[in-house]
Amino acid sequence: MRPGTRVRKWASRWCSKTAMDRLIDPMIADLQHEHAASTSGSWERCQILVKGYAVVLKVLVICLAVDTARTLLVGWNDTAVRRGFASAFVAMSLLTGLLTTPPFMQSLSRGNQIGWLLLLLLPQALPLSLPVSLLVGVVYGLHGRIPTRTVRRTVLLIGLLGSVASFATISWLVPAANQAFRVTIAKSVVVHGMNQVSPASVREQAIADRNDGRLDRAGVLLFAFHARRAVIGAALAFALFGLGISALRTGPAATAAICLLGSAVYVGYFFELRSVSPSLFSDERVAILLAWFPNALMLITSGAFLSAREHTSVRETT
Amino acid sequence: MSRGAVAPTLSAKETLILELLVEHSEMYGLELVAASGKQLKRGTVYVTLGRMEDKGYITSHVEAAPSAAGGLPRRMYVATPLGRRLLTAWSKLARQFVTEFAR
Repeated sequence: MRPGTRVRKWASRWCSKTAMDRLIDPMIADLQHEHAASTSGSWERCQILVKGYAVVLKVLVICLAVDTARTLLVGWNDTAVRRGFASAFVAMSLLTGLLTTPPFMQSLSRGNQIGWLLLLLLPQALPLSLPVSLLVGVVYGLHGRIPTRTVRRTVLLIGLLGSVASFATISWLVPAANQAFRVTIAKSVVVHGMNQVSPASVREQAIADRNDGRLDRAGVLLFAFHARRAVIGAALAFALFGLGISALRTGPAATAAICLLGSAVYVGYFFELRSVSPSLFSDERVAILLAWFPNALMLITSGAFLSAREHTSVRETT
Repeated sequence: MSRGAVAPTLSAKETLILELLVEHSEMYGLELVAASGKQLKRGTVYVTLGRMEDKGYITSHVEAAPSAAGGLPRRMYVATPLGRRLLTAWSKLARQFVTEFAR
């Protein structure tokens, strides 16, 4: 297979025809000719490929971002876009409220009459409420629409942006807000716990514990680190899962049930893993595999739903 | 010039691309990058070429695929008459500026 063939096939599903004709195809054509014409050794030819692919991928990301931003701006008058944003906003507000109310009521019952403590609790709800709200927004925004290239591209970019927001929230906002909450409650200086330090610090501590033979603690920390990373990717996984569900063309009740089931399975999976022996996660490969499994499952399921829709469309037109 | 009319302009990269195309008649993207002496970047040249084509300074066509190399046919770029006239005018203006400000 010639270099760039698979990338071109993938790009053609997501990029506009103009971007393919003007940018992607000329880049890949030049790369293929450069590679074929090279009389250098295999190492130089490999370098040609690496440089070529790096440029193609960079331009691809820029294309996707520009095309999608243009689509969203132009499509704002589209009911689907507004419905999607409205559904996502409502879902996020409800879920964030649901997750932050119990700890807030608990702190109130302990005599902490500080209303603004609720603001410090909000960030820790975001890593879960953001992906679920994306799922709801995509499903109810698309409402059974055909997942065209433009739609897929838009959902992919929204999912990526959601993951970037999750990354910022989990890496900086949640640890800082948690620590501020604890200091406010205790009214004194409090040592940082696992949930109040950055993910990178958690991993450093885990490696140190593993080297010292404290496998249980290392396992807990390693899994916590990789689970946080996986939750960052959850925004993209949930958005694409929503794309797959919307392609199924099921009724509102069935759609809601699938969304709820998917979210419940995702959250329940992490709860169930708490019963597994922590020393199992001291092997980082196991921790990575188990942390990312739900995201992978969502992506595979979405792919299956989209394929099923494509096959149905082909059968209907023939 | 009438009120509201906007004079076309050429950026440094567009000027370089037009100069190379006028000199070589038709070139493909990587050829332009190689001939520019690293002034044009591999990633951005295609974006610039696309913009210039929108403005009408250049035109492009897909070459007939050579049977030996195979693969996708390359997109070849050619300066349009508008692009050539603009380059001539812009070069003349640039020379006048240099002369004027060198005094």
